[in-house]
Parts: sequence; C-alpha cells; structure tokens
Amino acid sequence: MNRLHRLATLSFLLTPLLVAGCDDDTSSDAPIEDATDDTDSGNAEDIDITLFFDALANGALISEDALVPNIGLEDAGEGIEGGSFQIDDFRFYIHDLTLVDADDNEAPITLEQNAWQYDNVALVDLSNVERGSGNAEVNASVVGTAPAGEWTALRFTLGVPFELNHSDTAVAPSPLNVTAMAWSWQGGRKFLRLDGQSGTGAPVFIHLGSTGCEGEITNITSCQRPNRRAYELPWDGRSTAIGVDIAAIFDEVHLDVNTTDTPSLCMSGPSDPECEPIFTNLGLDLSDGVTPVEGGDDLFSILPVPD
Amino acid sequence: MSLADFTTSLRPAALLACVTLSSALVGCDEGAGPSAPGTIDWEWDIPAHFPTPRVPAENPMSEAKVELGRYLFYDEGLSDDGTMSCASCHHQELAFTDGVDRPTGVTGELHPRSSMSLANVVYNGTLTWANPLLTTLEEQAFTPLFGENPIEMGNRTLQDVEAYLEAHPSYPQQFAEAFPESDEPVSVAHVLDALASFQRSLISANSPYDQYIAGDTDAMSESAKRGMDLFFSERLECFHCHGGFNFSSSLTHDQLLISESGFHNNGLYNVDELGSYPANNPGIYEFSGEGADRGAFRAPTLRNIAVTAPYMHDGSLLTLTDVVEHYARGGTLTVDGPNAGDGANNPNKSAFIIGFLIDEDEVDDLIAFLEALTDEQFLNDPRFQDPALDAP
Repeated sequence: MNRLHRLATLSFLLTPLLVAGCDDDTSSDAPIEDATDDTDSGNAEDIDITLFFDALANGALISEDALVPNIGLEDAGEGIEGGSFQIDDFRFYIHDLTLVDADDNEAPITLEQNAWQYDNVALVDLSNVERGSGNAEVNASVVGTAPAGEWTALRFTLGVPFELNHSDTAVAPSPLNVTAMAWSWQGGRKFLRLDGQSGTGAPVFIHLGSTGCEGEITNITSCQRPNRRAYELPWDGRSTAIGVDIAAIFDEVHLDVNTTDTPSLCMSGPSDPECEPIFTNLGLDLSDGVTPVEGGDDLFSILPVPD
Repeated sequence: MSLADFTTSLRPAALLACVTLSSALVGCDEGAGPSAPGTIDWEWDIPAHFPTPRVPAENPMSEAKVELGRYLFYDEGLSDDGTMSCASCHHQELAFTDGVDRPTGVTGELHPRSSMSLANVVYNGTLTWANPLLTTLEEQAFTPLFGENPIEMGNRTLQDVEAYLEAHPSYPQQFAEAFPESDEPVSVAHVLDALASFQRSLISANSPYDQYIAGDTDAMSESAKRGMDLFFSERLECFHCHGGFNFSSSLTHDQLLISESGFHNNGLYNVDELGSYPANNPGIYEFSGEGADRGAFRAPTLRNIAVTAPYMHDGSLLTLTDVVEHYARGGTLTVDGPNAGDGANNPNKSAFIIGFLIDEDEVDDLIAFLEALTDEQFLNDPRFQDPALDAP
C-alpha cells in the first residue's frame, strides 16, 4: 500500500467554460451552467467519474436531519457517556482529486465546471437543514473525467488550494463565493464546516481552515498553518460512493465541554484545547498544520458497491 | 388573513403582464459590447469588491424604468388617500428607513415590524424581515400598495391606481418610454417593475470602510480599525450573521448560484421562557411551522446602521450601544409585561450568540467601525432623491 506523500503539482487540461457573446441568463433561479462536453476535449479513452458522498456515523448511513447517537461523548447528568449530535450545517471543499495506480502513477480527475465545482475544487454539501447559516441545497456528488487506466487508489485534499483560497469571496466564482464558507475576512475559506448541537443541547462548531495567515487582505502571502490534509482511499474503479464519518471526527471528543473564551467547539485555533482531538481525528497536526499525523483513516471510506 | 397569506396567495391578473414582457428586451447591446446581465441601457456603478447584482430576466434595468420608479417612489398619489408614498416610511437621509420603531399606514394601523433600509436591497437574499419566499422586489412592492393586514398605502383595487396614473399629466408618457414594447404601458404591473428597478439602483458602496478596502488606509480612524478587528473576531462573532461585502448573511447576486438566506434568532425575546416570540412576530416560524424557527429573522445589512435607529425587527433597541449590550449579554431580558422572559435563555437562539466580555473602550471602537459603514454620498445622492428637489 502506497504511503501518503505530498502531492506533486500537476498541470492538467482545464475544460474551458462555454462563453457566449452575451450572458442573458438572468433568471433568479439561475440553473447550473451546462457542462461542456468533456469527452470532446481530451483523450477519447477518458472515463467519466461521479463520486457520491454520504454522511455516516460509525459506518452506517445517517439521516442528516436526525439526532444521531453514538457520536463523541457528553454528560447528560449521569456521568460521561456516548453522545449524540444533530447536524445543522455540513459542507466541505475538496481539491486536487487524483487517481493512482499500483506503481504510484497519478492522473488528475478533471472536474466538470459548474456551480459546485470551479477549477480543481468542489464543494460538497451534505445537509439540507436551513437553520441559521445552513441552506436548503444539497450537493452530494462530484463529477469529472480522468484518463482510463488500472487505477487502484483515489486521492484528494480537504480544503481549497492556497492559490484560490484567499480570493475575495464577494466576487469569486461559484462555489468559492459562498459567504457561509468564508473564514472571517482575510483568512480564506472554511475547508470544512460541521455545525450542530449535542444531545445535551451544547452548540458544536467545527470549522477547519488555514490559520496564521500574513499579508494584506487583498494579498495574503502565506499561512503559517495551512491545515490541508490529503486522503487516499483504495479504489476499485467501480465504487462511486464515499462515506464521510462524523463519528470519526468526534471520536473521544467531549461535545459539551468547551474551554471558556474559545470557540465552541473548534475553529482551528492552535491553542484551543478542544481542537487537539479534533485535529488528530482529521489527521492534522494542530501546531503546524502541515505534518500529516496518524489519524484521519476513518474519516473517508469507499462504500462497497452493493451486490 | 395574515400578511404572509396575502403575499403568497393572491396573484392579480395584471401581474401576468409582467411575465409576458418581451424577452427580446433581454439581449445584447451589440454595438457597445456585452452589457451586464439583466440590463438594457444601464451601467452598474459599483466598486471592484462588489459583485454584479442579480436582475430578473423579466424586468431588465433601464434608465427610463429607474427614473419612472423614482417618481413613483415619492408619489403620495399612489396611496388611497393621497397622504403616503413609499418614501413616507423610507427616507433617503436615513438610508431609506424612517426613524421610528414601527410605522403606521393611511388608516393609522400600526405595522408589526420596522421599516427596513433599502440600501443595497438588490443584494438581499430574501425581502422583508421574515419571509423566506419573498425574493423579488416586484413581488414585494405589491404588499405596501395593496396590503390589508396591516393596511399600509391602502389601495383597494388595481383600477383605482391605474385610473390615477392614466389621468396624470406626465405618467402616460413616462410609462410609454419605460415600457416601449408594451401595448399597455400604464399598469400596476409596470408600477411594480419601475419601483423594483429604482430600488435596485440604490447602491451604497462608498462608506469610509469601502474606501479603506479600496486602498485608502486613512479612510477609517484607528478606533474604527480596532472596531473592525473586533467585529470580525471569534470573540464577538458579528460577521457570522453580518458578514460579507454587504454585512448580511442574506445574499443574492448574479454569480451566486448557491443560496444564502440568513435567518437567525438572536435572543431578543423568550416569552414564557419557552422560546416563543411575541405573537405578532414569530419570525419565519410563520412559514415553516418548525419550532426551532421561532424568532428567526433575516439579518439585515449593517451598512448605514448608524442612521437607521431604532434597531431589531420591532425597533425595540434604541441605540447602537443598546445593541452591543444585547449581544454582549447574549440576549435581552424583558423584566415584565406580556413579553417578559430572558432572551439569553431562548432555546432557539443562534449558537453564535453566547455573550462576550467587552470593555468601554472596545465598545467605542466597535461603534466607531459601525459608523464607518455610513455612506454620506448615498444618503445625499441626487439620483435617489425626491424629484420635487431636482434642480429645475
């Protein structure tokens, strides 16, 4: 099994957006732009890829609207025991989707350009709860093409690449212009936003993003802690469903304990005690935001194709 | 019948005229190169950090429509008894609010909610305080004109309004110029289109904050800059509901393909300590019927907030200091009366509103920042004023 290593930067064929002479689609229910025909632009042996993301808890599918049991820990008055969690908002960006073969050759998945996918970035939205910051739309699939090959693994990074991350949300192309995924005003985007409440009613916010960013708001030069983690999943070329396990994010995490004067529960603060187990569960080093750590193996999983 | 029923169930036949406006009007000005979507001869006057507004295809912007809309906006003849215009509750110098907690209509009936600012209204994800279904200005304008609960401008029939317009010395000509492709230019449907177009033109983008964003580092005071950092901090969390270029999580624009509606309960009330809000203002619960939506209202823009007192959906907080104290406490305590209860304990309150410590200097800094969102140019712009004030 190949070990995770830093992805090489690949340049790949970006399918150009169809640009008409004049844009006259101004209806307030603007439909998702039609995709260009990907099979024309590249190798005739390209394969179509659709990845469906499903929210899981402890390996089982969950209803995003329900109070899900066996998530983390909470104290309901009878001592600390298994907690439960209700999702209010669950969205994340992934980028640089790549297929890998047994010899560690890589090929990029070229994303279809649409409202949810721009350049090599896709926004996955797994909650239709409209409370607070959540919105009614759900986007559970990521669509693209890749060269045919003997692929054995799928890799992607959780987040938005640095080159796109610090663009102005107001005027960025969709899906980078979602205000609810903006990270304050200069820190780029929230790579992951998981908001909800514990069974005991404690608010839970998990916001992952780069911290320690430097420069002017119009020109961020670097971030001390990028907090981007790559994940690799074995892939048989057939399965199309990927599970995202929220129980894995909260493994050993006390949902209703929060250090005073820190965000509840973790917004990537490097000195926030509640972020320690969260980051471990994501496979990230809280203190430097770069070194991959053991952990994060249970976050994403390929769901087997039903027989 | 509640106001909500009225706006969603009644569809006068004349509005169909709006829908059948020739789509040939939406097209390309081939001589001058591509124009912004939804415009005919209209240029948006917006800075680089503002996205292009969204305009419905059925009602593209034009200079003639905007100008007609301005005349209609300030015309008291559009009310049943000739005493009220849109401007009666939307004063330009107050960023198109009216300085009172709740306005009254032509019959003296008190509206349950406060007049909202129309600055940048084109960017609002939904319209009015708590209506998740109301997304276009054309639909919204119908309510103040014809609404019965409460009675605002008090018109009873479309024919009443159309008779007034037809008999007017200049409207027939203005409507013909604004709707040149129409066989019946003078209509209530076109009143709504023109009012919507005028409102879309109300862009506020030149506050000291905007100038600072555009590169003028001296545009805001040091106090306001410290206030800005507080505003965008995780201690105060203001930006979670009042973030983005328009300081509101309720947003729409031409490139926004993923909706952002932004309804939040901010702990203003907790009637009977059970999470309820006063019966005349339940928030979007009125539409969804879901308990957790009790008390959820749209977070309005904070642009020009210093001139739009009093605050909240019912105008119950009088000053910006009162507002900061409300959020610092994590909710408002109503000590007695029919709405008694501690909003800080409201079970449906947004989890971002947990209270925070803030000292007096920081309160001053925060308010200095909010004041830096006041756009004097907008408040005095002759393009938006009462035509009676136009130079002869």
